[in-house]
Amino acid sequence: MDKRERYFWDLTGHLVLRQVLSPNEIKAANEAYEWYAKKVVDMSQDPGQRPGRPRIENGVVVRTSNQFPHFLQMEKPYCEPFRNMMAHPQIVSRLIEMCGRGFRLDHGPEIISHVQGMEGGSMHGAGHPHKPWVAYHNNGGRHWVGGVTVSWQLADQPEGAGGFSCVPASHKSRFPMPKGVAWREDDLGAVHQPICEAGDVVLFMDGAQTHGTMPWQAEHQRRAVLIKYTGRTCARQGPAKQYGAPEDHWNEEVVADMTPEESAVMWGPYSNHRGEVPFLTVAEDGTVGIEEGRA
Amino acid sequence: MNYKVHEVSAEEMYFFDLRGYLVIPNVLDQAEIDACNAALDAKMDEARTFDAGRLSRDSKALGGDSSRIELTGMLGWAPALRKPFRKLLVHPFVVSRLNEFSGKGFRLDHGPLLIRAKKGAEGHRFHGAGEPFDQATSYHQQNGKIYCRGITVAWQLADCNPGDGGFAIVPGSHKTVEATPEEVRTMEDDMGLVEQVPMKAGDLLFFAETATHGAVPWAADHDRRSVLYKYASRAAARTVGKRFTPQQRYGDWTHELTPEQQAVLYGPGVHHGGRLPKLDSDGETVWIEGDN
Repeated sequence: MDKRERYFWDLTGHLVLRQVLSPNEIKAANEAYEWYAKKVVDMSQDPGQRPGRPRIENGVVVRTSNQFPHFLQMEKPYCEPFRNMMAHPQIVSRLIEMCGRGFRLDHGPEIISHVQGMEGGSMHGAGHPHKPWVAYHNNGGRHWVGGVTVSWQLADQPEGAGGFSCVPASHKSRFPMPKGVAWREDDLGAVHQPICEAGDVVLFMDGAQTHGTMPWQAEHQRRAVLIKYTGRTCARQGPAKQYGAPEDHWNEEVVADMTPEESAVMWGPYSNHRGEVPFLTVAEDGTVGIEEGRA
Repeated sequence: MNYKVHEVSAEEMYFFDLRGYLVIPNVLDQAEIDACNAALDAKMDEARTFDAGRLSRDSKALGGDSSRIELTGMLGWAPALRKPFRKLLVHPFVVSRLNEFSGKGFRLDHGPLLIRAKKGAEGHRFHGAGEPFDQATSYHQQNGKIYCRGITVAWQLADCNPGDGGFAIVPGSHKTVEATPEEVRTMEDDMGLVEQVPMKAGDLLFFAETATHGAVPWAADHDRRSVLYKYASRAAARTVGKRFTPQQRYGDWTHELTPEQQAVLYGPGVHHGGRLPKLDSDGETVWIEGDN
């Protein structure tokens, strides 16, 4: 990571690396994806149970889930393009500085493969409210961020095509994001769509930088492989969530026969809990209980 | 200060944010203190004693003729012995403060841990600070809210009077962005910044792990006894859980990956006993530190 990249990253919250993949690597990754997409579309089982948990619209896979590392597990040679991305030297050399040594793959890969006319999504993430597990910090001439998404482009994303977009510098924002920006109904001119070619890689501060997806306008299919990394001491989802329950995180004798309140503080670390982690409350008389509606 | 069990006062928020620690007096009654001490006494043969010099390193100001004695594992002891420590785990004074200091969904990262010291025991070199930044325990305050990723709750089971030694801190150091002078860490010239915090048995201490803290040599006739619970905010990890390696987290298929690819699949946490292979790269190749 050179001085120009460091300046751009600190200033904007994202970075585009040009032509990291060769034409042959792009071709291999696209072929592996097409093999996967044809296979899952042809499957008779419930889409929710198909490998990679694809979202299929009009017979086309338009997105996969980021909860499962399916693309790393596929049979050879189809897994290989994705395995080559996970610890690619161009990425490792940046993530060591962005997230710190010992950075880790938290969840993914997932693939976004929108077709022309598909809707976008709201802008999300920002410096406010503060989220410690993905937050950006800079002092003493060094910088750290809790979460970085690495997005490998397998198709061009030309100007006006839509797709990934972001609000540069929003990782340092300390005020609530206006609704007009979140839904792009009045984005104040703050939203930016980076222009990319197949083979480029976009890195952005996931959760800290405001980002989202614009409707896909191009005739060709969008193709982006997203892998989500975190700093060594941060956990968002993936196996951290899968094995987050107290009995999965601690040795048996430590959590045996705990009360629900005791057990509530023994869950493993992860941010993407959707009600399964109990929150504790304290009544005026000092009684500790579980917050209503949480586990 | 006026302490309410179920809510943190504005004065407590001010003091914790300003100083990086907070003491709430008289939280435990004598029966509760006695129950903890009796359970500890019953298991004291399992304690380990550090060699003198391990914690004070080369500091003359922190040196002593013995070191601290540690005992852990309380939550997994037999029911009668673990009971007082499980009660402390989610004590209402702890829950109400941690909901504010670390956020709802806070978690126990590691501990409890008894720190015991006999008269003449060495101190502990001062560690932690706002600079260099430590993502694991960082302190942040924004728009009226506190976000303390690593916070230690220390229950006092014996008095720490002025001059006794024990826990000490550099107030305000959780926000420093300049390097801590070595002579402050060793206390050989602490610039008048180190404060030994007087406490009584039954008092409850909270401190931000990122504040510069340590221990001064124990000078009292009675033993130091403090039990520490190390909490973290919801998505922060210092100690690794039961599933740390790629195989434990993802399955045996990960054996097919190169060592460098496997290296990014380890679980979160920094207390891994040297098991984590760390990657390095020059942008053209990737290798594991120490392998080249």
